[in-house]
Amino acid sequence: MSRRRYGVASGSTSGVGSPLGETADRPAPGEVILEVEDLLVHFPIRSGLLQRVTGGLRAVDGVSFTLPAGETLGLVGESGCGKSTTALAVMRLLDPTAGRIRFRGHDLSRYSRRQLRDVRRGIQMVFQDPHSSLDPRVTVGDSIAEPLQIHGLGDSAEVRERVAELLDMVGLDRTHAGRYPHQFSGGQLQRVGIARALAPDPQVLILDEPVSALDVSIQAQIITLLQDLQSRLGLAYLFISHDLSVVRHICDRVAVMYLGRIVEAGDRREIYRAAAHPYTQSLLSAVPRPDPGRSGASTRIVLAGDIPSPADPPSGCRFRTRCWKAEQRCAEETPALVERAGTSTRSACHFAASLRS
Amino acid sequence: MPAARDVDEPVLSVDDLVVEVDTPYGRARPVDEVSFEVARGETVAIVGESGCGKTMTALAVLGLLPKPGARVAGGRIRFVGRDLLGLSGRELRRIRGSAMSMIFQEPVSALNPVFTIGQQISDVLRAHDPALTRPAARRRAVELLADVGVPGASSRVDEYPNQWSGGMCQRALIAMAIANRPELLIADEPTTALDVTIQAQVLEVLRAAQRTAGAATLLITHDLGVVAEMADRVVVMYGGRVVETASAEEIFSAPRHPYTLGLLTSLPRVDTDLRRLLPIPGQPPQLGRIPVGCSFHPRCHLRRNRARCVDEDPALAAIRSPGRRTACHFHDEMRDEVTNVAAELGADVTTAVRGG
Repeated sequence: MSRRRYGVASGSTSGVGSPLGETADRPAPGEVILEVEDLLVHFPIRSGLLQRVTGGLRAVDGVSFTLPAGETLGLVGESGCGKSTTALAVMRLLDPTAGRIRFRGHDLSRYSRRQLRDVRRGIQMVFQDPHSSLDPRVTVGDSIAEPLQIHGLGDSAEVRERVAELLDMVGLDRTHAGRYPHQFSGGQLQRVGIARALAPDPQVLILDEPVSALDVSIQAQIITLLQDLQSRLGLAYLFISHDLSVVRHICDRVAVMYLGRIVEAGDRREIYRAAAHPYTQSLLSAVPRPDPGRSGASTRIVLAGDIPSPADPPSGCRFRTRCWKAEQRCAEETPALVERAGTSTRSACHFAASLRS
Repeated sequence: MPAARDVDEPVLSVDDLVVEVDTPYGRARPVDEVSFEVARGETVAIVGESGCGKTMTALAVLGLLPKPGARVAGGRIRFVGRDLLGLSGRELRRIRGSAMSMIFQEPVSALNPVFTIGQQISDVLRAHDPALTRPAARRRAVELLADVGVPGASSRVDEYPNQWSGGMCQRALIAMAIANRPELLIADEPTTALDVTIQAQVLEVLRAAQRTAGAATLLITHDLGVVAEMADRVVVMYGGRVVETASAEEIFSAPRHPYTLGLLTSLPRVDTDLRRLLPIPGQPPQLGRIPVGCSFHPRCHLRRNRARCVDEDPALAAIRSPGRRTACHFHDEMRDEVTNVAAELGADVTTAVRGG
């Protein structure tokens, strides 16, 4: 394989190679770069002495979305909704049961490991906990260099220079490449995680709860860094989070998941101003407002009950067991994710139209 | 139980509390001359980021500092008229779980997996009331579970913690905490481990439990949303010190310490669009390496290279508004600072930081 060069951070795109060829260039802003269609991820449930498959856990059950270049799509929901499983399946770190994942026209769901290695250069991932996603016995410089070496990007001098440049980009001291993870704080380590993800010059970053483990003041630093990097490098983000405040601040579009399905998706402003799905409404109203005079407590929709098990989801609409609008129809008929008149928001609720406030 | 009940006396008063620990760099003070009070029926929140000393403060009040390693090295803790630091382990145990009770962050690990929920609640009741029979304690446990909104309490009382979700376990812990009608409830990050819709349920339960028990509450949290919703007064900690105390309303609308303001401007909002966040630069100080002078000076926007912030440690001093204290040499510049920062945050600043 010939050595490819990576693009420089300053925005010159002349030397940037696509993950699959050397002639294709950067995607145009707004061009759909990642497309997920009817994604299913089912895990077998085994039980008994012989560990026979006795059931299935439908972690992701028919998820579709598109991600345009340079934009941020927020995938939000509570634990067990399937948002992280979706991320792992898109990266093919988990094999999807069915469905299609297209990255710049290539159907990743059918690719072999070898083909995937090349494509993955274009899609990188940042994990929640940098303490566990970085090897404690490897210097951060070597951790950042690893993806470059895997993809054969540059000789050792070029790799060293690129590592220094990446450390600069994420706001760390370039002389710290020789340090080990334990010498950094949580926020600094997350910067290392971002530098490592940026190393092979990807077009898409999948960020799985990237700021959830951080303190407020450090969280704000990382959010600001991610926004700066996006505007400098034209990256597209798939931003997985349970934090609706962070999602409002960083995302262009939002998809809300509940028990393996997207229940509502659309433009951030529309969702936050006038969500139509009862689950989205309750989720938004449940977030405590940092404003004592105007706390949300009085207008809050407090849901009854717990999230049902994805091993045994309710029939029809999966939210119906906690929904104050549920009727017989909701148990019998699964609501489709359809666009509401006059908006670009799609909602999966039989009564979505009647809910607009 | 103390006999004298002075209505004006705070339920809890902490004066110049110092906690020391041994670290590889020598002796350090995770809690350094911390003072605050909790009045009857009041909810006081201690806020701050990891390592600021908020949990250590709560553990010191409970007499549960990790041993060996951490010890109270100075100050006083008075609880309904008694000096807690002078009490024996046996006397403290009689207070904990009855007059003073606690709710921890991880509900699932705070419960014992090999006993039923009912047994664990009964144990708490019987430990402080030996005359209570087992059947009576079980009946009371069912009532308490029903009070905190556990559906089907009479049948679920005999289940084990692994059969319960995190939100349900936290309800069981709240039931335990209010079982003996405490005077003070100490809740350390009570909803941090819970999903947001479950958090909303648990906060509601906690509020109702406070009301029925008539308990004052010391709430330890890093979540400013929870603070705004639950607290009457707020104590902001940084690097082991209290840097500001004020009513919840004042903390959010007119902060008088640059760190408090920095926390507010770091916060993305669910209810409004901000033009940008204004993060606090740098890292919080590590234990044993607290900067000299004002411990916040290396990260402070208001400092503007003035030497006084390095030379002189600002005392937590009262400012004009009653009950307010701040530890900043230049707190009288904070009004303008709030206005300037608000302009930078974006158009909808009145909700973000309602000008000073």
